[in-house]
Parts: sequence; structure tokens; C-alpha cells
Amino acid sequence: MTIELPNLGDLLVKRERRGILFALSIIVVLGIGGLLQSLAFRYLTLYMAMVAVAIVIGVATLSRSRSICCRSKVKTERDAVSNDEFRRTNMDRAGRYSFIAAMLTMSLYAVTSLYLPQTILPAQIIAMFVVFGIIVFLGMFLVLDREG
Amino acid sequence: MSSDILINRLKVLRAELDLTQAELAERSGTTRKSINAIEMGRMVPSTLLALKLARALGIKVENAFTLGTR
Repeated sequence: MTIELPNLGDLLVKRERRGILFALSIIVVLGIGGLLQSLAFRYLTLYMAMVAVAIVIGVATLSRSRSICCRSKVKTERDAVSNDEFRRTNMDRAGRYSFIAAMLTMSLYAVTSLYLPQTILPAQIIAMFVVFGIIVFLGMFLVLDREG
Repeated sequence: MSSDILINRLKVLRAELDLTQAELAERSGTTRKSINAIEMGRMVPSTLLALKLARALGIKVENAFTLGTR
């Protein structure tokens, strides 16, 4: 039996999964924060600013890691990882799951909103559906894309 | 009612050439994870990837992938 050592592609995949997990954690925390703050509208601007800062930091981190990556001549491996068929298939499947989950949640909300009083702004409700969809997408991708 | 399934001999062919999954992945421009998923039957490769794998192994694509019934 041959023991296979982790290669560069595996390391890139591992790092990407860590990044997704990190993004998922931030979105979950911010989503919960947004939900809690939905009762106090005056903090909405602060919340949106936090989201903006998190996105800027995330994008900056990704750009930095990409440039380091290309400089160290692992472009071929990175291309193989980003064009990977298994990864793309799992992204498609995760997209379908998140679409269905968002549709189900919206349908459920449409029914319950008839009987429950409206205390949240429509913009916040839409934002919550978006956050929920992203959480399902990233979570399902991590589950489907695991090895074994 | 019987349904068509893809039978692949990738693991056997790879072992015959004494290649690791990582080496085959590198030769065919994909990842080790994809090779593992194909060998385990968790993924059906596209025509392009199947042809790349066959080229990397130096065989015809039908030697690696055949159609079977369940």
C-alpha cells in the first residue's frame, strides 16, 4: 500500500476550505448580530458598516494570498484547484440546495407573516434571506466537498 | 428496470503504472480529490476529463471507462 503525502494541490484545497469556514463563521456571527439588532433600528448603520469592513478585509486577504501564490510559481496548481470538476459539481449542488432553502424559508415567511405582526423592516427581512442563502450555500459546499 | 452506470478501472490502471493519485492528478491537470472521487464512484467525470485521464495513463478512454447496467 502506498502512503500519499499531502501535495501542493491538497494544501491549496485545505487553505481554501479554511477560508470558506472563516467566511461562514463571519457571516453567521454578523447574521445573528443583524437579527438581534433588528429590534433596534438605530444601530443598523453600525451593523452595515461592520459588514462592509468584514467584506473589505476578506477581499484584501484573498487578494494577498493569491498574489503570494502566483509569485511562488504555483499558478498551475491553483488553476487545477479552481477548475476542478469535483469542486464545480459540488458548487452547483450547493447552489441548488441554497436556492431551495431560500425559497422554502420565503414561502414559510409568506404564510406566517399573515398571522404575525410586522416588526422588522422589509430590507432587513430580505437581507436575512440573503444571509441564510449564503450560509446554506457555504455550509453545503463544505459538507459535499469533503473527502471520503 | 435496469439503469446504466459508469464502471471505471482507473484505480487498477493507475496501480499498474505505479502512480499515486497526486501524480495522476498532476499529469491530467486536476486535483487528487477529483481522482479519489472518480475512483470511489462518487463522481462521473466529464468527457474532457475522461480523455485527459486516458491520455495521462497512455490508454484509450474506453479502457478506463465502460458502460454497465445495474
